[in-house]
Amino acid sequence: MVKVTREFIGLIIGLIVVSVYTLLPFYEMIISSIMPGVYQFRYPPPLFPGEITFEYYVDLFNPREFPFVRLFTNSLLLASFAATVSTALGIFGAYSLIRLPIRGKNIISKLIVVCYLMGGILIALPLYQIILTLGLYDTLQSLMLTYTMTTMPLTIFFLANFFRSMPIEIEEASLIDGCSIPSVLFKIVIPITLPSIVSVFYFAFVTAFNEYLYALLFLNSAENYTLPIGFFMLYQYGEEFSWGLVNAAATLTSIPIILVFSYLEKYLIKGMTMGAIKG
Amino acid sequence: MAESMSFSGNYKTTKLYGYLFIIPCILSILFLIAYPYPFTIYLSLFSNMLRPGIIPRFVGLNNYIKLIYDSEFQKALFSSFIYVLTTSIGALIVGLFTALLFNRITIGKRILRGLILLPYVTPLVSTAYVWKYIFHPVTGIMNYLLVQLNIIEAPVNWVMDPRYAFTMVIIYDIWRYFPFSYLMILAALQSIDKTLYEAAEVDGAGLFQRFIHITIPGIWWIMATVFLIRCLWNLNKFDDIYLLTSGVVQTVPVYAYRTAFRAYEYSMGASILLFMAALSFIFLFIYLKKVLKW
Repeated sequence: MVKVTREFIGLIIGLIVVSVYTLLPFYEMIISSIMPGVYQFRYPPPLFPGEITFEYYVDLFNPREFPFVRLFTNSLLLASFAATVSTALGIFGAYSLIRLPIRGKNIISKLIVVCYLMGGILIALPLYQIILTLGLYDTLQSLMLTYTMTTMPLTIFFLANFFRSMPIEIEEASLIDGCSIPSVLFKIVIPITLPSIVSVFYFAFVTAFNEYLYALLFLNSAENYTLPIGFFMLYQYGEEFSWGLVNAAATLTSIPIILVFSYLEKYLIKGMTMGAIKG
Repeated sequence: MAESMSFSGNYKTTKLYGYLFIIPCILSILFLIAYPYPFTIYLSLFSNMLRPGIIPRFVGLNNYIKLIYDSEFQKALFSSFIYVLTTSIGALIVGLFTALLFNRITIGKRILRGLILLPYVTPLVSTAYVWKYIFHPVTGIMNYLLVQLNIIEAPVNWVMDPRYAFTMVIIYDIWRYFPFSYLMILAALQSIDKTLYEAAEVDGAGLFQRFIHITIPGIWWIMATVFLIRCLWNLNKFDDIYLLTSGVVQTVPVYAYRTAFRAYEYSMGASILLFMAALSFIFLFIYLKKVLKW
């Protein structure tokens, strides 16, 4: 009996430690977004908001305080565009790689993994030069192109894994029945794997939404900034940096992503264990 | 690779679709490997590249030789080494601890798992600034807690002092990436045969012995895999470090960024990036050979 109790207490303590470690930043994020400014600079730092205010959330929608709406719209548009195009194209690429009779599959699939794992700063110089040559510097198109291309190996790799785990017999049967390859793809494969396709879209979206380096390199004027760049510039060069405002923006940015995640969690976990959120 | 379908229909048309559909893969390879790497090699072999009005000069491997003797690069390399090791091992240990803990919990599993994954799922930009807020030298809660707990004597400057900024970004990255190890290790734990534990208990094996002889053999492969992939990703990590420390901490990616895009030394930058690519390729090669089966 004693042993069980000791183990139980250990478990509870462990659980508290882990929860505090994991959740403290989120707690800080939320309370500092609803505390009036004077409390932000008190020492010792207050653990509970003495007063509650929603002024920062109101200010977020006032472009003179912080261009949150524009930053968010830019990021949202870019990430949606890149995720849509790369998922759509990835479906074809992955299907060909897994099911269709072409030469050089082995080398192509290996290279796709290399693309997926060796991106980022390693290829920043050539991409920068491509963007300059195409005359896309300081346009959102530069990131539309880059994010679409950089998320494509991700969509191909994960869709290929999902397609492969599908029983091949259904597709073969419909081919025998006289269906063409595109109609097999659109009428059978896509409907069956739709949840996986949605989760791949989510991963591509989040990857583009988080991207920071290319945005830093390719953008120059404030109206093109994405969220990560906008925050950074505000922090570095802002005249009146307000923690309340930034944390309100951080909270508001996180909510939709977390909500979608919890809604799709069942489907996303599988992709995550394969390393789909590259960090 | 999976077997292709057997075709009774028009084989030629099917093949045609195969090559048509593979185009996105080819495009990715062209845009992300086939053009970038040769171009970076080309850049690294010249000096004065991409400078209007100046003719590039072929210098062979000189940029690499310069790099080896560059003391700032040596420091950056050392920082990267420490950073990769501490963040990868740290995330592994915290993930293991959490997974062992949650493996014993029966109620509220789903909601708890969701909460643990939050650091990994929340957008980078949101969490980065909250940690900056927590680590604020004057008003941040971290200094306050550490002073109260007598871990440090006086508040430290987490933002400007490179040593403390480095510690901050390591703590942040362990926090951000431990859910990934947790998820992988928990899955491995749950696939260990429960009867093994029962048999060991009958034989009188203690908690620790069961851990060493049953749990560790059951999860070491997954732990090695997670460690490998984290090393590869952390080695090339730029975003977190630059966002959090505003460039005070200089790992190799930050140094490469500085050299190439702040000092406009494209050729030197290219040499640094290729050096990193070569290092990454060691991890990548092990990953492709030993881990990835597809």
